[in-house]
Amino acid sequence: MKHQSDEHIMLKVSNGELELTRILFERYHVKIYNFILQMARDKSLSQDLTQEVFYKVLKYRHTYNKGKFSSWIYTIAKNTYMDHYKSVKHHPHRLDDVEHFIKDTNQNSKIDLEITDHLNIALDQLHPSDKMLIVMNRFQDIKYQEIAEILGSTPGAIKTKMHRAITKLKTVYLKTM
Amino acid sequence: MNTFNFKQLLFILSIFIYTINGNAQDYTHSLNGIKTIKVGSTTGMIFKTHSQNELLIKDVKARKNPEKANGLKAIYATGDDNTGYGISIEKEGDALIIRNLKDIYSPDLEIHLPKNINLLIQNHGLGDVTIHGFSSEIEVKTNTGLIKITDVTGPIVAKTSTGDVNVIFNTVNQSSPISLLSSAGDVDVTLPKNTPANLNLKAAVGSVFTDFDIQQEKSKSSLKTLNPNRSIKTKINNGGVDISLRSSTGNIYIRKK
Amino acid sequence: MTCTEIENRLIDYINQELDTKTSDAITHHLDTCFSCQKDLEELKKIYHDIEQVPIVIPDNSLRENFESMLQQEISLEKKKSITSFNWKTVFQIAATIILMLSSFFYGKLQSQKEHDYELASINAEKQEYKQQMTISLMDHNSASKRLLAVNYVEDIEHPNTAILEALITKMHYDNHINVRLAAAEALSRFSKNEKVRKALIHALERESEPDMQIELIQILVNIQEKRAVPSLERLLHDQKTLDYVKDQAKIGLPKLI
Repeated sequence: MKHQSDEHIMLKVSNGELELTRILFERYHVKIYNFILQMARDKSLSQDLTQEVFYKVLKYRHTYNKGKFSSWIYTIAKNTYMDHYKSVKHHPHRLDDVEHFIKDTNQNSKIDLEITDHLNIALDQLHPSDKMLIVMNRFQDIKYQEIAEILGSTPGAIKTKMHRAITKLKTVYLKTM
Repeated sequence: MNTFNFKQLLFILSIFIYTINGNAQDYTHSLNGIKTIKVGSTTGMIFKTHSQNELLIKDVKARKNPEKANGLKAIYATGDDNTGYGISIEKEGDALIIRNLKDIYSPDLEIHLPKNINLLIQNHGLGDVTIHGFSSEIEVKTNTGLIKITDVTGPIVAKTSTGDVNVIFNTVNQSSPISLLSSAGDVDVTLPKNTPANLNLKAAVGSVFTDFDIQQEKSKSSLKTLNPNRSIKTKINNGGVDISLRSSTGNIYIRKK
Repeated sequence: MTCTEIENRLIDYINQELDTKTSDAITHHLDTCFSCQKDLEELKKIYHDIEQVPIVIPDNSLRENFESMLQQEISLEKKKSITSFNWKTVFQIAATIILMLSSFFYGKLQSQKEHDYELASINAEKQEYKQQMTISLMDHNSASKRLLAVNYVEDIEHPNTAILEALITKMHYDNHINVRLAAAEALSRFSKNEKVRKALIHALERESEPDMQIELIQILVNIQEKRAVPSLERLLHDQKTLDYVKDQAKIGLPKLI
């Protein structure tokens, strides 16, 4: 069973072999946790949301229809995060706010910020949808094709958006260095 | 993919191979790939069932063009007469659209169909609509015409402005709601006595009559007789499919069978 | 290639997603173009830095919580197989299946996929799930199915804005008055919501169908909506208003003023 594909296992789960969800949990919980953590930047919240993702995998196991399992679970993860995002009515960091934000960080000593923090600050200044694309593609190594499936778009459109997002990130990131 | 092409081919063939039988009395049209028949007419319409998977329009002889018109084609304001009988037939997806192009004084349209085909009927003129024997989904709208539906299962959604709606159910399909409405006429329904249903009855001015056991909410000791909505919601046989009967000025009759 | 064109392809260049010819051309260009070199270095730095970001391991409570949730779900599953279904649940499941089958048979495999993702995405709450299904069902071809959707809403305690909007649209625009009436009736249950109240007032202002006028008058009087008074007065003085509608307005007006 350990060597079977995600899809095969999930099919069995949806047919009632709930115990097998453990294998999927082991394979995916770190990835999903890190994906949400990159987006939400809050460890305890990310634990909760990851928990919720696996809860939905169980609850909605009947809606799984043999598609690629990783796309399915990332779709759930994305929606779980977005629902949370909407529910707390996050103030979206838009590019319009960037200048102001940069001034603030300039005043702090920028020397002791590590690479990760730098990146995070830059990422947080992007539009959430741009940020999500970069997190999926560069941090989670998900291919355009699959991102397109998760976001309900086409690989071509994802690629174009991704290029734009990276260019924006580059501008913001290098400014804060 | 192959089967799909095959089906398409069959359908295209079926369009051309409609047959006009020997006496040129009836007109038939294949129903391959058709799930719903949509019919629009200003004259009366009668729908009956038969066992063939085809559409049959009864006695079209009376609809033929006058002899003087030999070699000419009739043209109508509402559509293209592609049958030669003042009827236009078109396919749209899995629906067949039939329009009676002739005026309100032309003969009624009698159509025979398999019992499981869905019907969507609109009468824009004065004619009545009579439907007998279908186990499919039925939608009917008329102006002044009576709607008379017998030996059916539903679901039915029907509306007439000034006519009556009469429906006699054989059994009641529990899958989806039934809604019958007459603005100025009566709504008269007969159900098998063991039919489970949630009834929503509304007669804005008229009365509701029934021989079903309906639990009435006892009015408290006040003399108030006018429930502002005049609506009655009740269950028969422990509840089931939603059946909504309404009349703005007429009465509502629900009979046990 | 110009610098702009190169710039647009640098990401593909790093990802090695270009054909050899284009790739070579870019390498050649980079040899001499300082500005593009700089762009490339910056991109590489970003990519490199992203790779430095460590993977965070969640603490063990995540696994523990998952385990207890799984146990709970397993015991729930066992219980479920014993308890029986009620009718409504059966209808809801049936409706879901119908929806899935219909999109499947129309060959929209892609949309089927999206549909499933949509399903997967629905909030943990069952209610939320039901609301989604209901909204899609409201656009069904069959009037009876649309009624089914409208009737579902009556079971939802706290419908979200999307579903109320869908219901308002049904009240205004459905092509079957039976569905419009049912939508108005369902909306009257949520008259605490200001949006719903406004929609009902607005509906009476523009309504020309006598049956809808009567329903709306009754609802607005019932929920004591004084802003409907001008509409009622207009109906009373309008020559086109049918007598039995005027009667309803006459009964209703004194209760509002």
